[in-house]
Amino acid sequence: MNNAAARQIADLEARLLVLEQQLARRDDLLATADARLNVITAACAALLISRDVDTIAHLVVREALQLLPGTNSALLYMIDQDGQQLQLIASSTPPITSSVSNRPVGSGPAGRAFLSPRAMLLNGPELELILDELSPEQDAEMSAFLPHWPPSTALIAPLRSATRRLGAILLCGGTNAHLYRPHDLPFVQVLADLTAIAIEEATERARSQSLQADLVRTRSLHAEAQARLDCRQAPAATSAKLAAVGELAASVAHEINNPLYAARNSLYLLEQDIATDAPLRPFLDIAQQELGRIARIITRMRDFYRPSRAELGPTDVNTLLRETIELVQTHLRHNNIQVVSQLSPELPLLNAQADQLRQVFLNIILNACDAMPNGGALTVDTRPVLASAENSATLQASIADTGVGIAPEHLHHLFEPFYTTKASGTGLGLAISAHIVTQHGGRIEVDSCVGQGSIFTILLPVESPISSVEK
Amino acid sequence: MMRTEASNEENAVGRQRAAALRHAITMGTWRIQIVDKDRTAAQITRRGIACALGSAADVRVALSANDAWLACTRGDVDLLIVDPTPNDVAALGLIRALRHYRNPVQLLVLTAYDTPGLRSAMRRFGVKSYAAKPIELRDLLPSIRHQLQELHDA
Repeated sequence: MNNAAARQIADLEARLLVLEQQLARRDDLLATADARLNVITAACAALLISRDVDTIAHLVVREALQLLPGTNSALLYMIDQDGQQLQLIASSTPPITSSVSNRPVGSGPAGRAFLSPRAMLLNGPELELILDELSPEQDAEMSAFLPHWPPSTALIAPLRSATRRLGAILLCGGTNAHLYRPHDLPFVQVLADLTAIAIEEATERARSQSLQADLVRTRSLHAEAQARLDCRQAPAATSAKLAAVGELAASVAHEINNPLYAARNSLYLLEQDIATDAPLRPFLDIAQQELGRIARIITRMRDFYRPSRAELGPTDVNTLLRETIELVQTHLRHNNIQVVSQLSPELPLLNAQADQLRQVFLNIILNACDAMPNGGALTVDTRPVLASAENSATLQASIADTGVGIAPEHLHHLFEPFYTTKASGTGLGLAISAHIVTQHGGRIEVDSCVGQGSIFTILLPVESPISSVEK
Repeated sequence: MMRTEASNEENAVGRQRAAALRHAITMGTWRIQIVDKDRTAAQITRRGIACALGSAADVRVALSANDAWLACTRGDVDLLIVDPTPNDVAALGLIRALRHYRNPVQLLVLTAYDTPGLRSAMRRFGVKSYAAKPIELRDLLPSIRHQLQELHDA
């Protein structure tokens, strides 16, 4: 009985020993797995904040050495744009040199890894067969590049995203006769999947940034083109608006002429029969005078919109500007405005309607005076602009003031008829000016800064198209 | 053939002018007609000229441009005053016809629709006297007297 019991106890102790050994092995495995999970977690966190493919690749090859002890070198390949060659972009041990050539897809450890569906463990003859797929040159190249080549054990894994294959990871082992084991595979696969996700995201982010930059550039170009278009269309639109208003004004003036003629001359007929000393005679005179005044207003309004047919002729813009400044000299002096003239002596003559251009200069100079109620400087500048591929030879006249400037919200409406910011303005001066300059084939540009002043630049082509315009 | 037609036309013009002169000499009055779609304006013109010239003028407002044309062809008009409004084809047609057929009637365009285009068109039609409303009669009457004087001198 005692012997039987003693044997039973011995058996149990032996079984216990075996179980304890098994438990110790499991503990080792658990500790290894725990360490690897820590590596994976750290890699995961690092990958989250990595922003470019190069950083990700170097991080991954470094972490691979910690994840799988016994690894001599970790290599990360990326597929090229044609999808034909794998390019080594990161290596754990030596820095990459230009001597490492690309690998074709499908052969050698990297080529096989790229096409494999999952991570693979290569040991023994299987690894030798795959290494044999390398050409002698490639083999020599790897021997020169890696300190431990050929490897005695290897793990390979594809880098895949949901839609495409990105590259491959190759881990070469054999240090201290360590061989990779099947339970290493899930860790390599996880590392490869994390790498693929991080690379895909970085690539997409780079593409998105590139598209965003393109979008910004396109919007900027669009805005520039729109601004140029607006700039070109604005005078035409203003001119068309002015023409429409002018047509309306002329039409109204014509319709008024007949009743005005009848009323005016009815008074004339009455006048013939009323004695000059009749008590009511002064009122008749007043009525006649006021009707005469209406007649003059109507005529002026009609002529204002339909500039008189002044003759075209050789016109010296410098002379016109000098004459205009002379005309307003008293006004300038009273307002304490200093005039600075920078008139180019090389200015060509224009074929233009001098009276109309004088009106343009006068309008702009008087506006400049209004903008400087406390005095300031009025700079008048002319210069020829040589012909270019885009523009014909042009004459430029600039009138700058140091006045109150024009608020941005008013700038786009400056040349619209009846648009004015002055309490007593008619809003016609600049509209008429723009119309006249447009009729001469030119344009007016305005640059203004509130509190600093404004510059009106009048650009007139030397060869005026006005002769072909209906006047 | 062309020469014969031109000759006939010249004879007709001569006859009309002679008739007008005979009338002016014998009756002592100038026959003036006004073509104006604005009836009030037309009456004021008529009254103004009538007052100014008194019995020396017989001033009438034509019922239409066509009536005025018929009167001119009969030699019953010495001075025709027309307002060719843009939408009145008949008045423009009347002026064109007078010039085309070389009618010797004196013509004065008195318009409320003065434009460079109309002035230019009137010049092309050979119109020498042109006035724009709302001209005062005191300024218009000298021009009318001058035209009548020209007719008399001719």
